[in-house]
Amino acid sequence: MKSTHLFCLILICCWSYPILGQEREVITFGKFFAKKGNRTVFLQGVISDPQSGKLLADATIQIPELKMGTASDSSGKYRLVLPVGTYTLIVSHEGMRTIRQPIILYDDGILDFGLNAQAYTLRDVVIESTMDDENVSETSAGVNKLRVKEIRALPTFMGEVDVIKSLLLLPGVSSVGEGASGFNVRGGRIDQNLIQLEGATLFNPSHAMGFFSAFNSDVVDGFTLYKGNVPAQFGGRASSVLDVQIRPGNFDRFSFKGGIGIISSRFVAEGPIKKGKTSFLLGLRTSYSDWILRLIEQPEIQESSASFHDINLILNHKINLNNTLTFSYYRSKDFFRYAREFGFAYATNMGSLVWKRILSDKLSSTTFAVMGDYQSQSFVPEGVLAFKLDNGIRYYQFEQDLFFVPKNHAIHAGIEANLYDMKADELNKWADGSGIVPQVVDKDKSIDLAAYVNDEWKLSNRLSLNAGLRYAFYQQIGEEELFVYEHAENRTLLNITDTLRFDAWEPVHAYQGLEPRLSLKWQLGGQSALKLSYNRMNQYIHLVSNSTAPTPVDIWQVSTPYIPPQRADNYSIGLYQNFYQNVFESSIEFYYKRIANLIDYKDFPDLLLNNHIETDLISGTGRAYGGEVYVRRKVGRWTGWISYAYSRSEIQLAHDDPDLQINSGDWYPTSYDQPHNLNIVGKRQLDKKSFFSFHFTYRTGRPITGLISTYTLNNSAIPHFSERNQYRIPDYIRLDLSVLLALRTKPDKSFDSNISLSIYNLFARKNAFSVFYRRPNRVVVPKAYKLAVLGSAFPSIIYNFNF
Amino acid sequence: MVSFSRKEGNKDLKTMNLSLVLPSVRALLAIWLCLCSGACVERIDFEVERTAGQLVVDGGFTNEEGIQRIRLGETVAVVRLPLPVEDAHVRLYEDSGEFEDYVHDPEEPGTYLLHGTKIQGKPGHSYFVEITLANGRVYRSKEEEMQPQQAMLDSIYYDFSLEKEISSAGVVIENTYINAYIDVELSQLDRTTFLRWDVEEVFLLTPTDEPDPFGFVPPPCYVYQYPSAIDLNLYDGSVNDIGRLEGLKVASQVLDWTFQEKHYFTVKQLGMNQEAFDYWDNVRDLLTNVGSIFDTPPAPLSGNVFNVNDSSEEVLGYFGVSSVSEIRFAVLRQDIPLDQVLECTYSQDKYYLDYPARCWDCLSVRNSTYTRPDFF
Repeated sequence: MKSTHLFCLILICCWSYPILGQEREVITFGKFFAKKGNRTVFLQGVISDPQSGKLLADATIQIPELKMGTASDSSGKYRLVLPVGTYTLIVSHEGMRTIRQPIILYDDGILDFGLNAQAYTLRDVVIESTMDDENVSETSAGVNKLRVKEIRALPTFMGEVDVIKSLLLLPGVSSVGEGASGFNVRGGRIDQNLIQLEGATLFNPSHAMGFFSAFNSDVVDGFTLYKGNVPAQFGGRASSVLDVQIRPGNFDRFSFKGGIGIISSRFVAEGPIKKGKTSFLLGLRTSYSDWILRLIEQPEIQESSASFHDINLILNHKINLNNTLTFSYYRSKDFFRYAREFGFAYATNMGSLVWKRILSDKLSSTTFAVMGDYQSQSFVPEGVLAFKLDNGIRYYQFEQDLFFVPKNHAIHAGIEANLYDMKADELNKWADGSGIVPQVVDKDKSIDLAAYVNDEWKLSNRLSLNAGLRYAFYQQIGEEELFVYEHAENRTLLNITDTLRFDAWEPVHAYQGLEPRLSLKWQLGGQSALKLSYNRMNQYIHLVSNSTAPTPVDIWQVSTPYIPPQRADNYSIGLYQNFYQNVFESSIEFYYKRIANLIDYKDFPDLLLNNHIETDLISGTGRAYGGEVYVRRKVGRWTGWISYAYSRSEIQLAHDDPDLQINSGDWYPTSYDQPHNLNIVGKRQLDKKSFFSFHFTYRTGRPITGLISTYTLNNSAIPHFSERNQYRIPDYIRLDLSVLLALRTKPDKSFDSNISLSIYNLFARKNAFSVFYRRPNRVVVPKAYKLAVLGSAFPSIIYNFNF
Repeated sequence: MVSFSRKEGNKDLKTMNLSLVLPSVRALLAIWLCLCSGACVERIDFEVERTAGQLVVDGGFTNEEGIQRIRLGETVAVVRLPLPVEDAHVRLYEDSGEFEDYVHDPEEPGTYLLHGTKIQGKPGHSYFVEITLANGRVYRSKEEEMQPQQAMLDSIYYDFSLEKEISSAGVVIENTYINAYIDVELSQLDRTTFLRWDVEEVFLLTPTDEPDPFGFVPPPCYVYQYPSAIDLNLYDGSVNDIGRLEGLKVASQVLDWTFQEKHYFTVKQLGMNQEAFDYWDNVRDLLTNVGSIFDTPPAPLSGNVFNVNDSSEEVLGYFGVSSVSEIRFAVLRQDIPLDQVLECTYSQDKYYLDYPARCWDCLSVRNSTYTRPDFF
């Protein structure tokens, strides 16, 4: 009997070894005499898989003595603020051996961990015990982070796991509807979001006019959305920053993964070029939706074509222990053609080089260079006016960042430069015989330079500060022809008095500004914190559009003497509270944003092939305000969250001259003002790898301009419309379901696969994208109609594999 | 539809309206929808606070001979067209100082007729209209110069096409269309020439001649119909330099009962100034909106008529001044590729109710008259 007990004890010890962790030697940071009073110090480092070289996101670090912990970010970095003392760190990650590391802390320190894959998978109970309190411990307010594994749990549209669509489930993020590009954050316009793919700016994050995002989910590691406090490292946009991280390739072994769907597929290959030293990751995604178009019994649609593809290539090279070099290339292209009547295409080509250096145990450097190109084309391939119209933007980015970690501080300081070279609008004949007169309208060019410093400073156990200052200098440069207007504000073609000509690179007009960033966190208790933040952000590049919703053919426009930079002042306050050892997290936030020089268009603007675009635009004042409530359950059979946001977004175009007033100079809602936004996301784990999930969303209908009377003119009924955005389309409600079923895995786990089934818009609700007017047959007075982009339930299936 | 448009006339300032770049918004909508084939359009009740009491001016002055018309209306706060304004005083002014009063037509309430006894439209001269309502309010149109006709309507012709459509019941059906085309000589145009082509159809409707003891033969009707302004054809000379425009489709009509007898298509070419062109260009933008993301955001459309004492009052409509030339063709029953039955022809085998109502009362058809057009 005793021997049986002994055997069981040994067995339990063996099994529990990976769970309890590998005990290590004590590591001491600082010297004993450094200890003065009840002080706190920083401990930070990186958690990685030494075999693959992969940085481990969401690894947890627990300190049982303090009953607290944290998790690594998407780059595998973690950071703890601890009182001086002796502790045992428990470092764990799903599928990895847990490490127990005793430490003695007298001073700040850097401690990296390498977690090896374990033979035994952690049971759910272990995973569940490693909850972090990131939402409370994070100094900044209004920061949302999602990992790809969380995104994968969400219902999909057409089977594509989508970064942008997952963003829309977060409080304060919305869009005007299916089929519209981009997203709106806290009442901001879509161009007020800085979207970076591993640091490189992306000007169009959408495929297929917004039905899919430009990010391949198998390449993306995760993303961080800064919608409240934005660190000073980021700038150039007035509303938010979406920082999308891509993962490095495997340094030790080749692996492949992908998914095959009904209209698109993706594939990722990765592995070592030189084992342990250099790796590659190649991601491919392409659509093949034309076969669906062929099934539609409408000749024009059968003759139409729609497609997109994107490519990611990431090369990582470890020069030595302290130096790494990363080359990243991204290309995407979309193409649409409606029969032989019309089409358009747009493409992004972007390459970046990143050099990361560890200069000392407290100082590291990142040097970053990007070259990018975004182009769009509209065309009509047949007829007397067959044409193609090209425009776009060429851009270059450079950034040098230093990360310094002295006592109680984490400081980023650096410089940044951006060159935006807007491509000329070029109208050309599609083919000989076209009656089009070729035209070239040169566009503008600019440089902006910025210097910043940002410090995350722990003032005491309760009080933390994230303070930054960014100085930006903007210069519009030649070659340029600048019109001088008799009335600088009321600009029309009739009051042009002169034309100023500037040579290439000659300064045209400059702007500059200081951008303070401040976030304060007051720790109320172990699981709650109060955060305040204030940001100022300037935006020097704008998306101008004369359509009811953002489209791929909208134009980017840099600031000019007549188009001043947008300047946003953002204020927010939030209370963050976790419950039951961080099993539940919650927050309530309020914000107010005021934007100077927000541009809007005059009625019936002309924006294409226009070298006096300032005559069609008006600058005004914008404001956005609201509150957000967020409750999330992070562990258990059922996980998910509920978020509700009340958000208002308004603009005022007031001027002494009535021609420059919209809506008599009164405040009016922007076309993306959607006051109520509710999201409920739930996930039920069916077994270890299979799950069921749902998503319910409700939001107020967006504002539109309504038809208030009809009259006849020249024998036609002419609609007469209200002032801008005085009415709203019906509210938007949608429920999506998804099931992911894991398929049989090979015993050696060398091949893993699953099937994802989704139903998008389960109730087949005909949510209005817009309300418009037209005359039914033989009826003179136009009637109201609604257009529902997705008027039925959309089932989809995709097969995912990994080997 | 082929269309040309442009907002500004300055030679050095090149702009192009989106409508040129996106020639068929409906086409865009279709591709947008085909990406998500579950899309649908359905009628809804959409309540708005409708405005009432706004003056509507619908008319213009041209160099055509004969009676010219202007219609005055007032918007109402319900879903219907404006009520006619019958007791106004309307006067046309020429830049020479000459003027002539319009006379209200009691048979068409709200319509005022200009007989041209004092003023005949002459290119190079400017004109405006002044309207005095019974309540004393005075309105005036901005003075516009009549532009000369620089483009020459060269020829007009037609063909037939078979097009598949989806019926309201969701069934694919085939309809035969007649398409009208014009060729236009544009080589003499300068960059400030703006043109609009209007189409007017007139067809004969002979009512059922039921035998009666008195031998009474009901007179035929001449029915006018106008394509929707959604098919407005506009030309902007400042951004186009075609020289000659061939095969410009100006009308497309389903071959239906209106083609059982003689059916005329008249194309009128109107030369106008830039302001008028911009107005019609905006009208087209409003009418081509189909609810997609590519729609031009709708807005209140301002015309060229204003309240003399209150410039902030919003007046709807437009009083345009333009020179006109026209060209036409007729389609006879034997020309069309369909074997249509003359549904109004009397037959002893048919009961009274077997005839469409228009066969007994041809004036019940909208825009019909007993007055025979000169060219018919």
